[in-house]
Parts: sequence; C-alpha cells; structure tokens
Amino acid sequence: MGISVGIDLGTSNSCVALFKDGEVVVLSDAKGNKTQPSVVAFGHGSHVVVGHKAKRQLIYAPKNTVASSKRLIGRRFGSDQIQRILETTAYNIVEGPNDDPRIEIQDHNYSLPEVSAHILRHMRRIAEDETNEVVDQAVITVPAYFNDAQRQATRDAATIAGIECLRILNEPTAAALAYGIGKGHRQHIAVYDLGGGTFDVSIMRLDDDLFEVISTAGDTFLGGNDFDHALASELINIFERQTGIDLSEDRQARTKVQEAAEQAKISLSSAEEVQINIPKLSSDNGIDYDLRTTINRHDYAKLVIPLIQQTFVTCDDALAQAKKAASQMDHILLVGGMTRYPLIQEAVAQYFGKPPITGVNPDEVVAAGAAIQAYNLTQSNTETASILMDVTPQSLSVRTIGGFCETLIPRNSQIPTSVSKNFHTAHDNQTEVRISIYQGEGRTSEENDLLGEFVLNDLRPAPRGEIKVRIEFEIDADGIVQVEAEDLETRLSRSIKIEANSGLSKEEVASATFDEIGF
Amino acid sequence: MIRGETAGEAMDQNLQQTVEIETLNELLNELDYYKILQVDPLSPMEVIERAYRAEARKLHPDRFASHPDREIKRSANKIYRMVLESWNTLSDPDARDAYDTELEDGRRRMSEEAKKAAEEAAARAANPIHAAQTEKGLKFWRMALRNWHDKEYSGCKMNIQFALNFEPDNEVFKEWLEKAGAAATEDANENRNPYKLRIV
Repeated sequence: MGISVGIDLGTSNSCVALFKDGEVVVLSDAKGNKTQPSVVAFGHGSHVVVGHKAKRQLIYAPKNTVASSKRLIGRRFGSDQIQRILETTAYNIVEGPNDDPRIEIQDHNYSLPEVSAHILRHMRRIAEDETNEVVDQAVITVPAYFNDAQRQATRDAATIAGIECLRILNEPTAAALAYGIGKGHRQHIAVYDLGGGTFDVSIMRLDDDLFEVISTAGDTFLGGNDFDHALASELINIFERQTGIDLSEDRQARTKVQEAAEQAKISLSSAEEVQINIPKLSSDNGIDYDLRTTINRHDYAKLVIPLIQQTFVTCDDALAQAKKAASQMDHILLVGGMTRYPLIQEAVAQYFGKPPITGVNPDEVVAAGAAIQAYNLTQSNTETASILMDVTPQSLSVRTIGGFCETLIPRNSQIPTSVSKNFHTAHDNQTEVRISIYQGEGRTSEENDLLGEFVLNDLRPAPRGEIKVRIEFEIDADGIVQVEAEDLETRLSRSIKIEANSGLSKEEVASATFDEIGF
Repeated sequence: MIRGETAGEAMDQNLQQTVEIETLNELLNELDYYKILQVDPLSPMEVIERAYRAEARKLHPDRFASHPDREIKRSANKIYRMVLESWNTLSDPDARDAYDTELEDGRRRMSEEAKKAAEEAAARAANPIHAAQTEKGLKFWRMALRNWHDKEYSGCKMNIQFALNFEPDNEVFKEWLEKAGAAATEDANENRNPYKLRIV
C-alpha cells in the first residue's frame, strides 16, 4: 500500500505535495525545483521527457514538444476554442476518432489524457524519489470552471498514469483549504486564481473546519498564456514594422518570440523596463534580422489591461451569484503564478477595496490543499477532517424540442446533487428515446457544450406518451455527471455512463494503461 | 485538528456511522425537511442555518470516504442530498412558505385519511362477517353467524369449527367459538325444560 499525494496539474506548471505528520511538504526534484513545467517532449521512438528538460527542448524542437496541453483537454476538435488554439501552437493538432483533438508527433497521434498522464507520472516519480515510498493515490486539481468532459479526461489521465484518483478537486477550493486550515473563525473569502491558462474566482465561506463554496465563475481560456500572447503579438508587429517580415507563418520564430514575451513579463514584475533582444529571429535574402526593442511597464499594462478587466467581469458574476458585494469579502486569496505580478495585485486590491493576503505561495498553495484533502480522504477516522462543500460551475441541461436547453441542475448547486425527470415517447410505437446532455448557460443547445448522448432502447411499442422513462442525473463529488434511467413500466433500471466525451473510450484508456507496463 | 487514531477507534467510528445511516435511511421517507435538519418548524432562519451546517458537517460524503460498506456510502450520499435539498428550500423564504403550506395540507390530508381509515377499521370490527379471510371459511362463518342470529348455538358452534378447519389461526373465530360454546351449554341447560318448544 502506497501513499497519497496532492497534484496540481497546471497549464504552465505542475506541483506535487504531501501531508505528513500534521504539515504539508511541497516535494521537489533532485535540483530542488518545487514546480515543474507542464511540458512534454517526445523524442525518437518512445523516449519522452517531461518538465524542465522538456521546456528547454521547446525552443529547438517546437513541433515535438507539447506545452499548455491543459487548454485542449476534454474539448471537442470542432469547438471554437480548439480552432483558435490551432493557430498559436507550434505542434500539430489533428482530429481524433471521437471529435477530440489529438497531437500529431512523428506520425503518432497522442490523446490529451495520454499527454497529461506523462506529466502525472513525472510528478509521481518526483514524489517517490523524495519520499522513498510508493505513490499510488492522488487528489488532482482542476480549474473550478472545468466541465464534465474536462474532469473526466483528467481522471482518465490518472488511470493511464496508473494513479488512483481519489478526487478531482477544484483549484480555488484546494487553495482555500491550504490557507484556511486551522484559522478557525468565520469569514468570507474570495479566491482569485489566475493561472497559466485559466481564470477562476470562488466566493467561499469558512467556518472552523467547514469550507463552503457559495459560488464560482471562471474562464477556461484566460491566463498567463494570453498575457504572453498579447505581448508576443505586439513584438511580432514591432518586428514587422522594423523589417517588413511577417512572422505569423514561421512557427520557430513565433515560439522564440513567445518565450521572450514570457521572460519580459517576468522581468517587468521587478524592473521598470526590459530590453528585448532576439538575434537572428528571421532572415530575408540571406540577411539575418534581429528583434531589438524596449518595453516598459506602461506599454505592457496597456496591452494587458483588457485581459485584467475581463477577470473582473467574471468576479462581478461570481459575487452576484453569491448575493455578496466585493466589500463584504473579509479576505482575498491570490492563487496562480500570474498573481505574482504587481499589476494584477494592484488591480485586485482596487476591485475588492482591500489588499490581498500576502505570505501564501501562489504556485504551491493548490498542491498543498490537494495534499490535505488526499490525507482527509484516506484517513480511517474522518471525524476530525475538514469538510469541503463545493458547487457545480456550469448548469446541466437536456436538449428539448426546437433545440432549446432545459436546465436540470442550475450552476452553483452544491455537489453531490441529483435530480430526476420523466421523459415520455413522442411518437406512436417509438422504441427508443435519445437524450442529449449539455453543460453551459446558453438557452439553446448550440451555445452550450455537449457532454454526451445516450439512447434508451427496447421500449415497448405503444401509442405516443404512454411509455414513460424516469432519468436521474447525478453530479458526484468530483463534479462528474452520472446518469441512471428507469423504464417506469417494467421498473427496469440501468445506469448509463456518458462515454467517450473525453476523447477516449473505456477500452482506449485501458489499452493506453496496458502499454505503460512495458514502459 | 488532525490526529492519529488506533484501528479500534476507526472501527468504532465505522460502526457508529453504520448504525446512524441505517436508522436514518429507514426513516428517510417519513421525514420532512425540518425533521431532517432536526429543527422545530417555527425556528428562525439562524437556527435552521446552524442546524444545516451541523448536519452537513456530520453527513458529508467525505466523512464516509474510507467506510468499507458501499451500501452505507450510497445511503449516506442520499441522506446528504436530502440535507442539501432541505436547506435549499428552507433558506429561501418564499420556498419555505410554499413548503410549509404544502406540509400543512399534507398533514391535514394525512389526518383525514387516518380518520377515514380508523372509521373503516372500526366498522369492520363491528361487523364480524369481515373476520373471514378465505372463501370457504367465509361460507361456514356466514352460516355460523346466521345460526347465532337464530340462537341456534350448537349449529353455530359446529359451523365455526368447520370454518376453523380452513382458517385455524383465526382469532375471531376462536373467540366466537367460545361464545357459542357457552351459549350452547346454557341453552342445553334451558332445554332441560321439556316443555319448551323448539321452533324449527
């Protein structure tokens, strides 16, 4: 029997922590790094490198190196988000068998859960090396705003990596647990979580050992990456003005600019201005051209202020859902690497009318919370454990006539929760009923994400409306949807798992896991 | 706040949880939202809120994460959802009002139904014909009651004995058999009067 850890599987960086002897230890690699870049580099054959080494490969082998894969996980290939991403990644993304994106590297297609599994396995190895114990269970965190498919895909990644996923935990909730444990007194806190690829805000109530999420809102397409893209686009424009060369089709050059933009962002957190110098960025008619320019804080702020404002629109929404005002928050907790930047801290302080809490490491606090929860869930005596009460971030609905969505479980409902609904046949002698389940806030199915469809068949042929089927929709503690149907005439019930919504069927997950034995 | 424990303590906790969940689960269909949260229906919101948090803390599925019995976990999950449902209704003043009305109507309906059922039961008890449970038993029972009505106590006794062949455990039959037996004996004593005419 091994030990259980908490893993923050981030867009840009991942972190693993262990709760032991009453305290959290953030585990580091042999070089003392406490976070690892969430980058997977595929070499020749089955050689795979993850973390810092992989990040270095990003520059010279961008086509074989997968970064920010979390932005793709659990999404449909045809979705707007994937189509937008296609233009910015250096690696090739192709359509998989279940309308899922797959990453094409050297004639091999990798599913997103497989890529994440490589990161998880890397984190597990770090934990095993430092503790000298076998790690076989983990609480894995996801952005609060992740939908069912994204959560399911993350669970699949754990299965492929050979880790039993104890719980899919929301990142802001995990952070609040790490921060609030032992604080005792009753308070309301807002968790502002701006990571590499996603933004979440959760409004929470802390009362002794009870951590209650009142509402959550988020944007799974807003994070540090977008800040870098904003600066990178500006640099590409500057280069074009200087040299007349358009870099938008040059993947290698774009990766270099992206990297420089990220470095500039880091420098600007302490310096007033930064020199950007990329030698031989491109060439024209045998002449090499360098990118040389200076960006100051003011220029940078102008580029990213629209992105920061977008986070506050989301904050407004979360507060409205919680029926609270920004000023009613007792504390503001900052999470995610992006919140290190003074620009963000100042904007947050202004929005909430008070400075955020300092002294919490925004890169490690999520993994720390996950580690505490992993401990809680594996203790045989749970009487003394803290209790997390979380909510579902998006409304669950079914498609009705005319393409409209009928909400079954509204967003910000506490989980686990369930609701049942009776369906009846619409035509004479109808022997099957098809039910399509969506997540999202739109009125029509087109505006929402399709989670899955299932068909109830073998119904008795009868005049329309005579056959009634009761369907129970349940959202479990992981935020994952379970469906059970009962034919009200025969009282036969069957449970239906919405499958292949993550891009992998059960069989594919199993076979990916099997491959791993020889690895 | 987090402490070590012995295997014995853990087992005690499991057992205690099992008993608690099984009991609650059995009662669940009879409990209204107030009973689930263990509060008086007239309680102010603060009391209900405190009770809700206490129950949620006690019944949260994570408390049962390491419980060995899947069935208990399932039941605990169901009960927890009822706790949430109770709070979601009672915390919204309009929803609570509507629920209270519904509950009141339900109670009235329940008590009317109960009254009706009691009356029916009383009527059944008053008319002994309903005591027979089987068709054949009923045939002889009916004859026995007719005999009783006609004061034919020995015939009555015999027919009850026939009826008892089909329903040997029928307490009403047995009771009446005694009654008929006593009456028949008394009758026989009276019949010693040779002048009494038997009406056929």
